[in-house]
Amino acid sequence: MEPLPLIVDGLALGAIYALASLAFVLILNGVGAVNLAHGDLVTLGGFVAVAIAAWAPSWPGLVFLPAVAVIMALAGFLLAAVIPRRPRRDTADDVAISTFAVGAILAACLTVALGRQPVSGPPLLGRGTIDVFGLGLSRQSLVVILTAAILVPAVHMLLNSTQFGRRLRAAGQDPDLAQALGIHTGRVAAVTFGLGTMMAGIAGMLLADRFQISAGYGLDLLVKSYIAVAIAGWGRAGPAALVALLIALFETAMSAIAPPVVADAVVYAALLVLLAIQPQGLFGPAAQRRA
Amino acid sequence: MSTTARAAADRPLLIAGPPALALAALAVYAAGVDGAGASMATLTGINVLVAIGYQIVFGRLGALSLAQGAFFGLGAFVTARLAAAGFPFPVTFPAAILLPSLLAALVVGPVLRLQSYYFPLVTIGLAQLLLVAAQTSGAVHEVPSVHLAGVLAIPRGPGLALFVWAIAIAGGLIVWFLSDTHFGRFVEVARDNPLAAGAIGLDAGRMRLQAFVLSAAYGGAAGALHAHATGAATQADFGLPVMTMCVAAALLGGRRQVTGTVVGVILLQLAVGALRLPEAYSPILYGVVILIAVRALPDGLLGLLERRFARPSVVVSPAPQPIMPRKTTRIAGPLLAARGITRRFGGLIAVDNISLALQPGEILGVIGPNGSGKTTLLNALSGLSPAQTGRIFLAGRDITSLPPHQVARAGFSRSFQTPQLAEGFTALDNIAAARLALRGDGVSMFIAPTKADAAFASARAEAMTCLQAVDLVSMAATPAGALTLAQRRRLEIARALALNPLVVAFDEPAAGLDPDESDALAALLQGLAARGLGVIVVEHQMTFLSGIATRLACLDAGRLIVIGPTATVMADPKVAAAYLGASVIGRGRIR
Repeated sequence: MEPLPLIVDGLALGAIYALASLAFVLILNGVGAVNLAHGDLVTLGGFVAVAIAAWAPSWPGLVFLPAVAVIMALAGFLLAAVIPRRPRRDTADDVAISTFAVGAILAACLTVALGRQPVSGPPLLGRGTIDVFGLGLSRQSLVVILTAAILVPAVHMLLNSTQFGRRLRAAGQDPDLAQALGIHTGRVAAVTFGLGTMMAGIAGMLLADRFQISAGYGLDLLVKSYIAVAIAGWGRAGPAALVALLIALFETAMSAIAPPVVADAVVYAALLVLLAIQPQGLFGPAAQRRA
Repeated sequence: MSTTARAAADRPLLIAGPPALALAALAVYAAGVDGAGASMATLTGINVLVAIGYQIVFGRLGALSLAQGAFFGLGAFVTARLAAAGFPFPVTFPAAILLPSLLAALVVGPVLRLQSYYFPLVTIGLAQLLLVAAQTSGAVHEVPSVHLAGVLAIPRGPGLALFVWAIAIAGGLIVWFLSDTHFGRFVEVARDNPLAAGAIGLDAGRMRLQAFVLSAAYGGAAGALHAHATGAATQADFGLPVMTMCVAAALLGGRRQVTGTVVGVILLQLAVGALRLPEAYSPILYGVVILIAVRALPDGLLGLLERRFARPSVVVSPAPQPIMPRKTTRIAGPLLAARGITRRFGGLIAVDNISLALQPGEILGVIGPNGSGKTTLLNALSGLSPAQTGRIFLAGRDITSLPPHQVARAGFSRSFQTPQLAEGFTALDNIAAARLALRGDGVSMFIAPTKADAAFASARAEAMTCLQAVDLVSMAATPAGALTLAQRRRLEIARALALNPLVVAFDEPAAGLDPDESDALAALLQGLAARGLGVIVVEHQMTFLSGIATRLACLDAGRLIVIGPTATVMADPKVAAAYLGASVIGRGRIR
């Protein structure tokens, strides 16, 4: 395969990983817990897009994006209602355990209903290739990159430059203090889950567009986002998106020469080495606590 | 926060566990002498084995591992491959246990000391990697049943069910045995508060590793038996059913006890059987059980029963037993000597080339404005954030590069700005754990439960002496989490005493205390010095320090600017300048 189309595909996958990792960081910051249902929410978004598109197969997928966003946001509110709010001090984290259960239920339901076969979703703006300097580049990849290029900075701004973003981070870091300051932490958690799930769903739609999704894919997606956040620095949004992009580029490059397990093993080994020598991540954590 | 006082000997259901396990096995077996029943009984036994292994790390240690399914799958694959190559059970079974254990040690080793959220990451990453590897390698079919040796084969059916249950019961007994050794008690301290574990000389990281490796061994063993029982090893073995079953069983039955997990497994298995649920659907049931149990059953069904039927626990107040002082060879020179220690955080030099010495019977006050490096100095001395340059000697022994728990063991005890105690333990048992920890956390932890109980009883008697010294005897049976701040400070002092220290260091002990409480504390600290201990007190309250300190050291921006007799230092204009800014030099002294 020509290198440039491969790079464009890698960038498309990277844009999706970046968007997904932002969804993961958003919930991490707003709720103060790891969302272990993350990967399955991404695949759910993909399947929702596939299901909606089946109603009008000839329409471009971009038309359905708002509908997917709304459905996934509603799913996020539902998630917020199911997940207990405050972790107990002396046990394994109950919030994470609950998200794990939700993820397991989702994955099993999708498997039972739809089987394990990978499926593809509606192309956002048509299929085929676009001729750029004599090279055929995937139109789908380019549209995916463009969509993510709009959404990723938007989320980054929302988290770092708005009052809502500050409230959200405050609620995640220290719920007691945030409440004392008049922040309705329950509402912030609900909105966080809504937004995060919506973004995860959109990432899933993009993934189903250019690539494929399957019911068992969630674990893989969760691990990619989780690793990106740990490598970047706990709770850091921008760096996590960047690391996610790099992981996707590496994966795409490796896919040309080796089975997926090799790329996964290298990324995992890199994580272990980094945690051993630089446990704060490459860019340091977003917030530090004093002993 | 749980305020249940926890002492293994007070738990009737834990004692009743193993017999209950055996009975359950017999019942399941009796129900299943026909073919389908026997296979059901076999699978239940396998689930019991994998889940009690998971309970060690999830329930006892309180760490969310997501790799138990992966270890199960690995055990199945190792068994299938070796069996296909013609190896008998006595070879394949140990291999199926050993490989997951080694992998667990290898992978989790680097992250043991990190914050808790890296543990799910590293375990789920491993699970994903092994799943992809299994997908690549492909399933193995036609795995034979168990062949103990060339001739002695156990066919699938009732025989295999009994064999599996024998192994499950043995596994349960091992966990039950371990939970009543010192190891079991130490793990509970480490779960409750890792800092408190370090403060009494326990290596929480190593215990986490031991527990995790043990759970991996159980996962591997169960996977091996599963391959024999079903005749295949497939990528489904790595999947959600096993992992979700382990979490659901622990939460449903009660994550603290082995028995709870066994009860959980059997209830879930009965539900799956009654609903005739295909395996693909089972994670849905398990997931729903998890969501309900997390909210409604914080300590599981067993916890519910215990609370309903528990008799009011007998208040333990053993007769105080004196503590033998530490045997030390007196050496010439100071008790504690720090030479040129420096601690940097990136570009910030928090502790800059500080040297100081402490004599026996001396109280050294450490003062300085906020951010001048007082707590960092304590952290460097106690090994919590080690000095990057310089050396620290305790009674002549170099303790510079020792981790916190070994520094505590060597005779340097410290308190924390916010007291760090095992909140679920009673005041008495917090101290008793410290006395036990002093006996060692090596192989000697794993002694017979009867001996462990005897040792614990005598540790409690010694602990009473320590509580007496800080006037907390009346609170002996109160959980540490329910004590007032002043009482918690005193309990930390009692804990320091229990470790037979040479030097004790306190981080702002008087903060938040009323005048009476702080007078009582001052008298206590003077008492420690009178015993010949070296005492270091980091403090803001000058009135508190000026009454008790023999010498003062003043830090500013990480540097030691003055050290000397209390009155001299307090009159030193450099001290006033550090607190109030350079412009006031010479205008007066601080009070």
